[in-house]
Amino acid sequence: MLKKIIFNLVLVLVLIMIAAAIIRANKPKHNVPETSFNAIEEKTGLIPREAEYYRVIE
Amino acid sequence: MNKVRCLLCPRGCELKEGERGNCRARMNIDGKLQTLVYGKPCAAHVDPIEKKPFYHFLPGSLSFSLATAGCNLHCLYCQNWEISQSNPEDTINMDMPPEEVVSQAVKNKCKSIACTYSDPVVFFEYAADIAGEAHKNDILNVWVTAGYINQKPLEEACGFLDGIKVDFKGITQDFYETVTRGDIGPVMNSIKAIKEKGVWLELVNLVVPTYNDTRDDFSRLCDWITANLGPDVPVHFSKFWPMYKLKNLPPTPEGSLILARDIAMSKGINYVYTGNIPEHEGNNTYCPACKKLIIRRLGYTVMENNMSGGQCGFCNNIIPGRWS
Repeated sequence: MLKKIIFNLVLVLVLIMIAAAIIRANKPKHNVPETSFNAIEEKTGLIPREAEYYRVIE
Repeated sequence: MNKVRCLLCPRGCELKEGERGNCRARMNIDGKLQTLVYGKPCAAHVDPIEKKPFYHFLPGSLSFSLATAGCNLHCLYCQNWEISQSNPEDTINMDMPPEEVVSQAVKNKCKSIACTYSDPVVFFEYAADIAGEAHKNDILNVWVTAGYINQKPLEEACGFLDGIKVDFKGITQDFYETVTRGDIGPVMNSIKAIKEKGVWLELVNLVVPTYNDTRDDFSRLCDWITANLGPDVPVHFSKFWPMYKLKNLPPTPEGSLILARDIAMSKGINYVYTGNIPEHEGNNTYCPACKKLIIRRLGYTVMENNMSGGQCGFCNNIIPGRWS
């Protein structure tokens, strides 16, 4: 009986972990990965300039 | 480290230090949001204004057209995806400050400067400064945009723009979500706001087979236009060409464009055009009052112009647009 309960608990846990991984993988990713802008600037000559329309949130 | 929220477009990207927005052109550097593309266009050409397409805006004139890398939408059929879906460091960029853009426009006898190809929303600051310089030199400014922008920056843009062509890509949220990865609500709000602000507005609907080409799609689109904008905003139905992630589809059949035009005209829209059907009457402008041909076009070339000071040259009916 105890074995059965433990087996079911483990099974449920595994299913939850799989579901969480699937949800995480499918979540829309709004930002491209972090990059070092210093390297970009040296390579491309892009000159960053402060943008309008933003606010600091933390 | 400061986290910032971009307030330029409805995405409202929250960016930690070193992160870049969905548009690829704006980045949190040292706790400040910075544009990466100011003064760095990756495309610049002299085009006929008809190519934008603007049909009621200085017909037969040239427009100095430019774009930077990046876009805040991700249309599956994007015709300029090599630049719109690229990081600015991955495109070949020119060094062209606003003064140089205007100088090139003057040199090439352009009557307007068009921010186009990608979406000018993502190079807002650069486009604003170009517009300021252009007006000093009596050159007009137009945007070709999807209208995916917040109201406050749009209001500012309406202050420095003389014409806006909005790609009204579809009439359902489902279409916008599936094809553009955006939302329809902000686009509708932008279109209405531009009209209310009195900036010259033309609309384009790219007709994509199986996605937005049913009789019901055209009907609903035209109903929305007439209800919210009235009958005088020119509407262009354009031909889709298999591109980017929709190479599996055929080009738009001419019949679909003609059907769209017929429906739009039956709904009372006065100026309805079809793109890429040579010799078709959908290339021309007709006076809604006397029904005579006012402007005849062949491709992007104006072959005949019977306008007279913003009026039909035959019956003096006022034709809306920016004619001089």
